[in-house]
Amino acid sequence: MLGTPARGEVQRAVEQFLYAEAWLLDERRFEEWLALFADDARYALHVREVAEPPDASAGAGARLSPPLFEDDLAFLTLRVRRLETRLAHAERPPSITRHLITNVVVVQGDGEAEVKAYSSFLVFQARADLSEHLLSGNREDILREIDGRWRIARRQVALDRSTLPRTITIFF
Amino acid sequence: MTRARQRPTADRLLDLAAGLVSRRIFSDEAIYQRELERVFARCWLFLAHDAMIPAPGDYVGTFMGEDPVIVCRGTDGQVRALLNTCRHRGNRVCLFPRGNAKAFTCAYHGWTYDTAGRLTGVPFHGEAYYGRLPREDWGLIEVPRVEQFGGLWFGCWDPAAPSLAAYLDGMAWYLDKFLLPLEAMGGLEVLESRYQANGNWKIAAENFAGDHYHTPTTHGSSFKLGLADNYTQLEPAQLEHGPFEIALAHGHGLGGVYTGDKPYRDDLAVAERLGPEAVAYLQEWYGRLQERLRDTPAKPYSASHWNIFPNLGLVWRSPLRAFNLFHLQPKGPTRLEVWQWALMPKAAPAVVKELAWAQNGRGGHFASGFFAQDDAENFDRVTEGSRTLMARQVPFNYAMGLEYEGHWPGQEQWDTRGLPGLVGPRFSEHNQRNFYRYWAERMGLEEA
Repeated sequence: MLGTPARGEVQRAVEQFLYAEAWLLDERRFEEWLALFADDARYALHVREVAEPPDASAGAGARLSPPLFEDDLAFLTLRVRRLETRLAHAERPPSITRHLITNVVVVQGDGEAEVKAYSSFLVFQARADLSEHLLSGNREDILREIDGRWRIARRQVALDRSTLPRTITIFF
Repeated sequence: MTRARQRPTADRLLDLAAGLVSRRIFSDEAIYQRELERVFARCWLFLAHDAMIPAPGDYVGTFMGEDPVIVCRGTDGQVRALLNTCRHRGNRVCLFPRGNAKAFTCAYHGWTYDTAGRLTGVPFHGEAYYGRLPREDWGLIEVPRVEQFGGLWFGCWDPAAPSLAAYLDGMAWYLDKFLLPLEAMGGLEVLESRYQANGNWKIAAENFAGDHYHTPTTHGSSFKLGLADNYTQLEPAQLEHGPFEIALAHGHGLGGVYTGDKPYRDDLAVAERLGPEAVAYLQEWYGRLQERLRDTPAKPYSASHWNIFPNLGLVWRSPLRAFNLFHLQPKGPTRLEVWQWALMPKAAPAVVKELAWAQNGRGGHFASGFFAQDDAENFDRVTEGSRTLMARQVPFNYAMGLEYEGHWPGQEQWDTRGLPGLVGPRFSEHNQRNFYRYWAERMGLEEA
């Protein structure tokens, strides 16, 4: 299994946190979204690598690629700032997104204040009349309780593709 | 107001003397099919980098035009390109994008080929073929010409084509100066990023070949955020030391070329912040570069964007950055896959690698990087703008710098002594005209 299950109320609280986070993303309330991260947060995005012979230990039949990027909070913030420049052409007009977050498993983390949260997502992305994409994947988060509120200390996103349908211009 | 139709390209697709190119070449299915036959089936095409297939049995799958090929280092050590289709019924015999194999077996009837493409196994050969199938005639189709330059493997379907070195021509000179010193530092390691786009492959290729003009606008957000470095920062006037755009034989082109030692001093300042290992690494590379430039009075330091005709784009600005290959895989007149590999010397210190990989995924050219996002979006829209009925009847303008080609204002002050090719300023479309002139030649099209 993925670890020692967290207590029921923690599981529920983390689910609500992840749903609320998805809501902020879809509403493009990025300032509030950034505030959900711990100061020392890391946010990494991977894709899948398919190779022969297949790696039997890998999920989704394919191993994780090295991260396409691993941002600290400063650069994640810069990604948001970039959208505000009105020069981020791939987000003009902005994408309409819908983040569906599911299969949430919350297990105990290192120490009292941390949990590990596994979740799957299906994200619909529409670019005005330009294009539509569905992106699925999973996330492994380390969430930390700081002053009575959950914060994302580490997020690893893995998209279920090796060739992406478009450049990555949205958050997961 | 402009007249709706400018005639030169209605019956001729190109009029480069007037700087005009028909939009139809970016969206027309018949033109695309002709490209597959006359460009992709006859030019040298990028296959793989040596570092992707280091061991016997290693292979990667790729495409030559739209034809799937396996690029495989045989158990005999030789690199071959094999058409990935069973000779019996055409199924793909290799289903993975990369790996290591002793043989390729078709999933339909079980014909099996070794890593040299020889048909070695035919199920029930005795019972089904009475032992009489001439197996030696039914191996995988092998690409007749496979050669490498500086670790870059290329293949060509035309048995009569000139050698790869002759095809690369002036481009070989620049690869020799810039890529080979990186290679020589104990080999390269590779990271990958792939994405799909709704662009015509040529719009991307011509951009790599010599479009410095798009940088301030397309990548304007990077400038606004203060992310642009010494190489992307554009000074108001053309400088004595560049950046230059250079058109080469056979449609190749490169740009963002700086001469003189300022870029080196700038990089050195970056390396000093990273630590003594980074400084030593940079100095070693620079020493190797200077050795290769012994007979070149102008001392070029790097080139930021390149295109090896037809469809291998390169981006590289400094030994502190990854050397990026962009294999622009055509998937139809308005569909493209960008297969990108980022190369760094294995011997580069960890702090340098970290900087290089971070640059690629953040501000740079991986699918998640700012530059890639900006470019892909614009290439898609340009392609869409070449497709529809009224829009496709008016040509694109490739006239920038046309009347000054070869005698640009101020050119006597440029330090470009010994650089091969037609060297021009950063804002000029001579590289694009050069690209389309060669494209037209390969297509067998009349152009003025």
